[in-house]
Amino acid sequence: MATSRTPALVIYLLDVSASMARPLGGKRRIDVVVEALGAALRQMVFRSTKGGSLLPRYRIALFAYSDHVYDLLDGIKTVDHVAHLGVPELSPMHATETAKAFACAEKLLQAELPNLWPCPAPLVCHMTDGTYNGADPEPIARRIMGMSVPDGNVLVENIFISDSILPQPITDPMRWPGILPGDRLTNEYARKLRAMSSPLPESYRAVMLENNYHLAPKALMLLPGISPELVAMGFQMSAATPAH
Amino acid sequence: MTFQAQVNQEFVIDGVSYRMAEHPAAPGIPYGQEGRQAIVYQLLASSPTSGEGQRGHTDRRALKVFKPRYRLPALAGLADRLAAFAVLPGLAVCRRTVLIPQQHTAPLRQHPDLTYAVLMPWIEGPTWMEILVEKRELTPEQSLALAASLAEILCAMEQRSIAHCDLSGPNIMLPALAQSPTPDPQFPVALVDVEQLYAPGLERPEALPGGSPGYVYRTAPGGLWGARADRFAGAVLIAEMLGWCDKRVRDAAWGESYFNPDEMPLETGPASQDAERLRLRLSVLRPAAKQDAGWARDSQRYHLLVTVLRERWGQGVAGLFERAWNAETLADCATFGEWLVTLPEGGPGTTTKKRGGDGLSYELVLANGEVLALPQREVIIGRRDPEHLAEPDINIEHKAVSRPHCRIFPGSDGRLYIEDLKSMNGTMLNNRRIAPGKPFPLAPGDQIMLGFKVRLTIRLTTATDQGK
Repeated sequence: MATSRTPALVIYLLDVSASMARPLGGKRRIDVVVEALGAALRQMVFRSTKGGSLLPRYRIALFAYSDHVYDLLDGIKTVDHVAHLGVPELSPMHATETAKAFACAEKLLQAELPNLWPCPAPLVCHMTDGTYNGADPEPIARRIMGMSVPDGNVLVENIFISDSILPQPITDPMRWPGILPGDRLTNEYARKLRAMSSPLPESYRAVMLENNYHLAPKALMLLPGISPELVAMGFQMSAATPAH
Repeated sequence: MTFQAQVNQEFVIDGVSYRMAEHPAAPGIPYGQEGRQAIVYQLLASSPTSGEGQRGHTDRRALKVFKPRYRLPALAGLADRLAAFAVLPGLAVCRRTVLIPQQHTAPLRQHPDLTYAVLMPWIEGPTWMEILVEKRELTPEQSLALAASLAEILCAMEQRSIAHCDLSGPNIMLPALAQSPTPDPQFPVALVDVEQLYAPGLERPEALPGGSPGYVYRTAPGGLWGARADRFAGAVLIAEMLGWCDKRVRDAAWGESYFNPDEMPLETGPASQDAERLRLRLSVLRPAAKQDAGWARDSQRYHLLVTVLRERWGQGVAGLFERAWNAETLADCATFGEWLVTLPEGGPGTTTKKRGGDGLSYELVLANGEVLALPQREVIIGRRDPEHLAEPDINIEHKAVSRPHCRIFPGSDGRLYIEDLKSMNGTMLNNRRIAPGKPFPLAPGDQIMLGFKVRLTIRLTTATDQGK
C-alpha cells in the first residue's frame, strides 16, 4: 500500500532513440509516451490527494536513454515535486543503449533498497521501441528482478512499441487478457523483454480491473505498444500500486 | 478509456454551467482525489446557484465519477434514500444529484463515463488525515470540539441504526478548520464517502470496502456492514482527536493514521462470522505479530494514547478507548451516546455551542489576561461613546477600537460568528483581515485583533478546566 509513510518507488527508463520520432496513431512515438507519462502522473496525483494536500505517496525517478543516460529529475523526487515540475519534454536522439539505463536503475535500487523495508516493492517501467545497441540488458534486468523487500521482488515492466509482437491484432485493449507466459510472440526482442518482465501482481491486477481492463491472472508486465491506448495502459499499470 | 478531465473543461448540469477546477498543488492537473471507488473532482459554478455552496464566493461542487466497476444503476436509487439523512449533522453529502440517462441526456452523451456520477456539496476544510500527516497542532479546545462533534454525528446516526461503515481519516472532513471562511454555516465535522452506508432498508453494497488501514480490525478485511460497524473505527478517531493536542501523541503518530495498520487489534469474539476460523487465524497471527520487530514499539502508541486521554480528559474517556481496543466484538465497544456523556461538559448558563442538550462555554481572553464569559446572545465589542451615552457589551478603551467595532454572536448552527461592524481600523481573524459586514465562524483558539492593536482570544471552557 503506497502511503506517505511508505511511498512507492517508480523508476522510468525511457528510450529516446532516433526511431522514437516515427509515427504511432498519428503522433510521434515520443509524444505518445510523454502524453501517457503525463496521464500516469495525473493518476498518481489523484491517488495522493486528500483534501487540499498532495501527499508524497509516490517517489519517482525518470531516466531517458539513447547513447547516454539522462537523469531528468536529478535523482528521486516525490510526486508532489514532480507534479509541480510537470512532465519534461523529450527529444529523439541517437542509439538505444538499453543496458546503460538498466544499470542506472540497478545502482539507484542498490542505494535505496535498505530504506524501503516497509514500502511496496519498487517498480522499474521500461519503454522502448526497438532492440538494444551495445550490451545485453537482460542480465541486469534479471538481477533487478532478484532484488526484494518484504512486500516482494522488485517489479520490472516493459512497454514495447512495435507492430510485430503478437500473431493476432488486439482489437479491444479493454477486453485484452494481456501477454501470458506461454503466449507465442513473433519478435525475438519481445521474447527477450518477456524474460525481463515480472508477473503482474494480483494487487495491481485488481486496480486495473477496477478501471475496466480485463487482464488475466498470471499476465506479464509486458505491454505491446501498438497503439496510443496500449501505451497509455502500460503507463497506467506503472502507477497501479494500491493506495487508499 | 476512462473519463479524462481537463482543467477548465465545461459541463452544464441541470442548467448550471460548471468548469473543472485546477489542482491547488499540481498546475495543469484537475483538482481530483481518488478513493477506492471513484475520483472526486472539484467543480466551480460559472454562475451563482442556490443551495449549500459559498454564496458571495465562487460556488463549489463535488463531482464524484465512479470507476467502471462501481458505476452502478443502483446509485440513483441510493441517492433517493440517502437524501433523508442529509438533515443529520455532518451528512450534507447525502444531498446529491445523480446523473442519470433519463434526465441528463446531453452531458452523458458528451461524457458517457459520467453516467451515475454524483454532484454534491463540496465540503470545505482539511481531512482528518491531513491533520495527522502534517502533524498540525491543535489546541485542547479544538481537540475536544472536533471529538465532540464527531461523537454527536455518530450518536445521531446510531440512534437511527445508521453506520458509515468505512470511517477513517480521509473520510472525515473538518469545516471547522477551513482556512477560507464559510459564510454558509457547516457543521464542524462532516463525513464523506457514504455510498456504503448501512441503514435499515438499504441494500448491502455489491462491493463492500474492506475498511481503512489504521481504523479497522485486522480480522475484518472483507469490510463491515451493520448498525455497529462504526464503533471501533469511531472510537479510534475520537481518541486520535482528543489526543492530538498533546505533542507526545503527535510525535508518536505513524503516518496517515495514528496507529500503524499492522498494530490494529483483532476482532476475536463469537459475534464474528466464523468464530472457529478466526480463532485459528488468531493463533497464527498473534505470535507472528509479536515476533514482528515493530510490534513492541507500535504497541507503545496505544499505551501512550491511553495515558494522554487519562491525563487530559479523565479516566472515563480513557476507559472507553481501552474498552474499544480490547473488545472482542463490536458489541463490546461503547456506544457513541456513552462517548458523548463522558466527554467533558461546559458550565451552566454560558453555553453558546450546544451539544446534545448539554454545552460548553466560550470565553473571551483579553490581552491583559482579563477573562470575559460570552453569554448566549449577540455581544457588541467596541469603545464607549460618552457623547451619545452608547455602551457596548464589552468596552475596550483603546484608540484603535471603533465604537462599535465588531459583534460576536451564536449562529443557528450552534457555532460562534464574528462580524466587523465597518470599524475604522478593521478586524483581523487569525492574522487575516475579515470583510466588514460579513459573518465569519469562530473556533476555539482563534486570535482576534481589533485594529492591529488589541488582541483577543476565543477560549472554550470545559469541565476539566473548571475543575482546575
